Amino acid sequence: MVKMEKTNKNHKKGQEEIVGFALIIIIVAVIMLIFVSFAIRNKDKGKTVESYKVESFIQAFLPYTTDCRNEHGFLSIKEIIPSCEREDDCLDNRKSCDVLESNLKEIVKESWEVKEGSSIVGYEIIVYSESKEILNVKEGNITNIYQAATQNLSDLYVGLKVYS
Amino acid sequence: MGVSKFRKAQLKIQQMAFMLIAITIFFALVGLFFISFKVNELKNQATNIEEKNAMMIATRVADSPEFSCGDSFGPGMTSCVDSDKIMMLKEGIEKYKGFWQVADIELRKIYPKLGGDKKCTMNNYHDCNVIEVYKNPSLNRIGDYSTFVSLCKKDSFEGVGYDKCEIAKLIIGYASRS
Repeated sequence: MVKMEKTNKNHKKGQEEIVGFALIIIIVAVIMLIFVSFAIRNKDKGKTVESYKVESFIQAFLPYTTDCRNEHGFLSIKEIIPSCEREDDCLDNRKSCDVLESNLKEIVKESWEVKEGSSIVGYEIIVYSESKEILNVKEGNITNIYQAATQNLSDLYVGLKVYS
Repeated sequence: MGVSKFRKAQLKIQQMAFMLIAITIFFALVGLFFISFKVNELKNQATNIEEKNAMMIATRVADSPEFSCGDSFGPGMTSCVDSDKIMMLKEGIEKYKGFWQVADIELRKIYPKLGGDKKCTMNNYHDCNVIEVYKNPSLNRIGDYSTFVSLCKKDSFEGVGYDKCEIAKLIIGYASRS
């Protein structure tokens, strides 16, 4: 009788120890999970395009001096856009719209590299007035994640979207 | 009987001592893990601050008096860097030691494209694509932030002067605090 009671007591003690051990393991696992989740969350940043870059890009390419000349001199992108809308020609008889298109294509291609593994998957640049679209340059994939900027040139607009 | 009880008590004391040691080691390990995690987090925070600082400088330095075009190439030009001014600044850059808390400042022409990197000096100024404006060799560069700028200068064609603007990236290199 006494022996049985002693065995029961030992058994209960063993059970309590197992419960304690399990509790410690659970607590440690929860703490570990919290740390791991924090560590992962910190590594997620920096995979998208910064908005300031898109805005600065528009500001930077508008004064770019093209090789299209008129009687006043070489035209910048900002000046060639209204010239293209009026369908004017350069002094060397090239169409201003052709010069604008070739320059814009090259500028965007050199500035925003669309390639595998890059944070940029595509871009779109639109030059438009209130009544019509003057130029549209598109490259790569169009996604729902993008940074955009627009610049107003009196009654003309230049819009840029960079997809990531 | 007395000896057996004494042995049992000794065993219990031993068991408790082992348990105490095990618990101490366990908590010491958890503490070490926590401290290393916190130290790592602090290092990351310091790097983030450096990154933010570089980003702020990248967005603002182009419009600072040392870099900006002002009204030389037309009124209201933003993100415009005066190329002639930069070359002169580069010549006297020792005076700016410690002025910008960054590892380096560089201007890299991206359009029109030039084959390969050609560092700019006073002699090849019109045929180069990399202007190393400022470098702090004592800092350990770990990354950079860049912004687009128009790089403008006064040029001439058939004897007539005109404003020539190209597209460049203003790159600010930042260092780690450690």
